[in-house]
Amino acid sequence: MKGMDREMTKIQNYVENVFSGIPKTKEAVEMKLGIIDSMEEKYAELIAGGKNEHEAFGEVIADFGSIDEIRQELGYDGEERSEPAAGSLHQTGRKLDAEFQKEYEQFKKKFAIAITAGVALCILAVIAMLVLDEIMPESSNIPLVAFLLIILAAVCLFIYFGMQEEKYERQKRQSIADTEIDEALRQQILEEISSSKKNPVADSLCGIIMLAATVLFLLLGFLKGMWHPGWIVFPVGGILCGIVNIIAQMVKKS
Amino acid sequence: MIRGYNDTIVLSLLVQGDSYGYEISRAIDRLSGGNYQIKETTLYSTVNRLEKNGYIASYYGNETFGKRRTYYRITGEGLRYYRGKCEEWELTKRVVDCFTRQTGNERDG
Repeated sequence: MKGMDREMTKIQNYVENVFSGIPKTKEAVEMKLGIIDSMEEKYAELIAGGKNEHEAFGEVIADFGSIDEIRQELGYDGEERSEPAAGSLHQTGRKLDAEFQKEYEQFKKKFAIAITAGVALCILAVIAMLVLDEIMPESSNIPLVAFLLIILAAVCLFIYFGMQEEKYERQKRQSIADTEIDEALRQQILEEISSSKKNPVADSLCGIIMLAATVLFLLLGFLKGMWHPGWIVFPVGGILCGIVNIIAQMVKKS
Repeated sequence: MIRGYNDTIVLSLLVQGDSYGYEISRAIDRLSGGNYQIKETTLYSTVNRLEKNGYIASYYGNETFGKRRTYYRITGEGLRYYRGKCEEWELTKRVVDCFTRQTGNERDG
């Protein structure tokens, strides 16, 4: 283990070294750490596969690549990057997702407090009215006014926070709908991929089969008059084609 | 030529499902039949670019060994971009095929 630890840190040392000229922005650090993790995992796999430390280390370093790619990606080379600003709006969209969660959490606490306060105010209103009714002169309107004012405050609270809650609910439902759309799109693409991997050999074989079926059908019909049972060549041909395709797919898998 | 399609390659793996750095590079090696071992710097600069453009999103997975791994997931935008790139490649392939020597119609296997 001691030897292996030395090499592991060697990987870290190497990468840190190569990255030393690069400003430690969040992006740069993320890439650096990702590369270190990936290299260490590869190293561990090579060691487990029987290679000795130095061999494994050498291989892992050989697959490092070029720090210039990193510089280019971060924009330090003055070279153009593919698709720079077009998607940045969307990237903010993704970050907002996580922030939205946090916001929602905080809001939920405030919401609970507000509702409790609203209910408390309602109770307070009744109490205030009863108390004031006792201590105020008969014809005074103060108890009723006090009651209504406090109720008004409670209602304002309920309405305001109710609307906020609605807003969050709507956003949440929207993002769920978006995820479902994304998922549907992904399924569609997966299907497109698997169906686009056509096998031309199978297709030409299919063509030959159907051609033969047609010829057979015509022969049986014209020479033997057997149009009636003769038509069966076509369904049989279709089935044979299906079998050929399935075999082709199985062969592809292997 | 591959450089223009590193994005597409990485995205194609994430279409199948979420994944992380080393798993992605292993899959690329395997699926290319050993013909393409993507360099670490290439992979991670690609991933950085994809995330920056909103085509993928990252999250931390829960690893039992304490170290948290960064997983990547393709987004709706990413799916659409991937599809576009696939069509672009089909077109490119067809055009270049008109002008290059055909090495026969061998398919793998």
